[in-house]
Amino acid sequence: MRRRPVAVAVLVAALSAPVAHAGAEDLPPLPRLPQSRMLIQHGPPVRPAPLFRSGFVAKADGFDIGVSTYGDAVYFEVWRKSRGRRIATAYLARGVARPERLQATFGNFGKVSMRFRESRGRPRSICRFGQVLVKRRGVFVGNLRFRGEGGYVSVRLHRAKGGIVTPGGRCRYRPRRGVLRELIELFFLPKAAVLALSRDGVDFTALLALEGRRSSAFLAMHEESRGKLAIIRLAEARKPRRHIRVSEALTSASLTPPSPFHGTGRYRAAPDGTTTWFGDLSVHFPGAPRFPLTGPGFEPFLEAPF
Amino acid sequence: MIVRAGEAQRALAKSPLVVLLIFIAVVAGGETKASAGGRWLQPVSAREASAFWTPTRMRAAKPVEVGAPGRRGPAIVGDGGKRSPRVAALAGPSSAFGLDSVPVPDSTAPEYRIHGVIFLSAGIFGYGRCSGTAVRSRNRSVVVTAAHCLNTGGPGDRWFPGKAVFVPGYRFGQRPFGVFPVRWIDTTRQWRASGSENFDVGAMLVGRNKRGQLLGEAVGGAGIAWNRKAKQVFDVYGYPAEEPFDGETQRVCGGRPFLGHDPSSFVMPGPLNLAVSCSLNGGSSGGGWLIEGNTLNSVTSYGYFDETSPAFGAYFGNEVARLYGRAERMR
Repeated sequence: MRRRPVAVAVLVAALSAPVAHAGAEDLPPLPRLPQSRMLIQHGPPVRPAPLFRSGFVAKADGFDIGVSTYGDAVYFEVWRKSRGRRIATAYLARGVARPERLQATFGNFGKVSMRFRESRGRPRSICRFGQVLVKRRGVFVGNLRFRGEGGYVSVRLHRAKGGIVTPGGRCRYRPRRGVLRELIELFFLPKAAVLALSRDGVDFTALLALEGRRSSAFLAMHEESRGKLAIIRLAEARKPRRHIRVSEALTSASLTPPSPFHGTGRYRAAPDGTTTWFGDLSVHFPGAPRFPLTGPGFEPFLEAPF
Repeated sequence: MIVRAGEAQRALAKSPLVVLLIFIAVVAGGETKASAGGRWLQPVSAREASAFWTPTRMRAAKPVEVGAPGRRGPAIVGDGGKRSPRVAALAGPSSAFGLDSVPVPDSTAPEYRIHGVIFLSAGIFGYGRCSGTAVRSRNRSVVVTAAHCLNTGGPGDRWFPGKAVFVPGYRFGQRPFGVFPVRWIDTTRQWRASGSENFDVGAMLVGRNKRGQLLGEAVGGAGIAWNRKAKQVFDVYGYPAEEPFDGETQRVCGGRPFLGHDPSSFVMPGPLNLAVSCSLNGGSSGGGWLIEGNTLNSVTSYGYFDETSPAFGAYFGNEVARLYGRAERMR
């Protein structure tokens, strides 16, 4: 199936969400957004060499925020999650992304300049996804000033607990049984899948909806590049109920995903092979509420097994 | 470019036998000796190269693409895998795809003949192709292209096998200025170290053609510039060879302004890459991006699956300057 590897890859990214934390409570979640994006486009993930990851988390205006290194970029992420859903916006900027130093300017949104001071005590080792991670704890001190679009989040920090994680050897990885079952059901036995893609220059939007036997998964993503700043937004939801309806002839489909999505997206295929994707479906990203996920700029794909 | 290249790579990657054979072909290819920077290829005369690269073989060459990340390796892209019968209304390339580029009026005209096709032989796996641009240099023999046309990149990098030639001004199986056998290839060092597409630039030293001319004597060369600001207007040249194109004509997306950086280039090492609106596909990798009419300032690196994807090219910074310096010192 032509687009299936694309859908599958995105699904893996979506389902990894609840378990994607680095296992260190004062470090931001593993930066998944660029990876998810690359999964959509390339197939297998492209990741910078995991030499280290350094950063901290805090809370502001009802959101979790995390500042960390990701490859050569400093990564400022704002997210909120609850059972089965997660919304996040990440701001990537080039700067100084060294283990003991985080420094970058996020355009008009703000800037970060912080240094790491290691605490006393031995580094801790933890096992995550088959990889031993060695964590040094400490405090980041300096300045963080950030104000999101329209002031949806505003942060001023001079001190935050954080850490530096470096990879060690391999360890045994046992996925949770429930996650594994859900993965298999959605991955190998989807009842329906809808993918809609839109691109405008370097800006890119993708929506993926998958329906398994017992649950549905939805993932929306938008990325844009503003000068020396990249912004990547993600929303994901999983619900036990069916949310996708597909006609037997595969000529029409509609989906009504749960929150943080709103409205309905409709797919139509004409006899000449042209397809349309319309409706009032939108998603609430941090900093971009009611972001439209339908319209003539979208290229839709529908798939259903026999 | 990576555009719609996935299926053949995935199909190849599924077969351990094919992977093994590719490995053997790559390892046992025409490589001879390594130099401090780059790789010398097995010496081939222009006569032998001309005899080998017949119009049939040139037409049979498929685009060389970046392999699947993580197990990168140039792959010769074929026609793709079979499609599942139960897929709803999945249209092929739309009729609008590729309309933003035009064929050049005469690929032998002075402004166009500096661009050409690089043909490579991959032994039993067929023939590969990329685009390239002749640049002015002291040795009058340097061609700049994409690094992924020459080397797999990243840890465990491998050079692409030999029997490579550069055919400037190529059109419809014709070789208006002859073929220039490739003698030496090199890429930015960071491409080989990291495989980051922000460093996807390669250079080649070519020998004389059958008439005994150096490349610079036969077609001239573009200037080359580095460390310029990203915000430029580019003319993007290349020989796209996947549908709806056939790789037989040189095409150009003229006067394309810089659109921005690919967000993925933020996290990879190297200077942020460049994007322009230009729908070329496989085969146009390595094609020159000219500014101010005749100055090379980037080469086509990749695009994405969707038809509206811009073309992305590496920024020419200090690393490209060093690569060019190494290439023009070669004799």
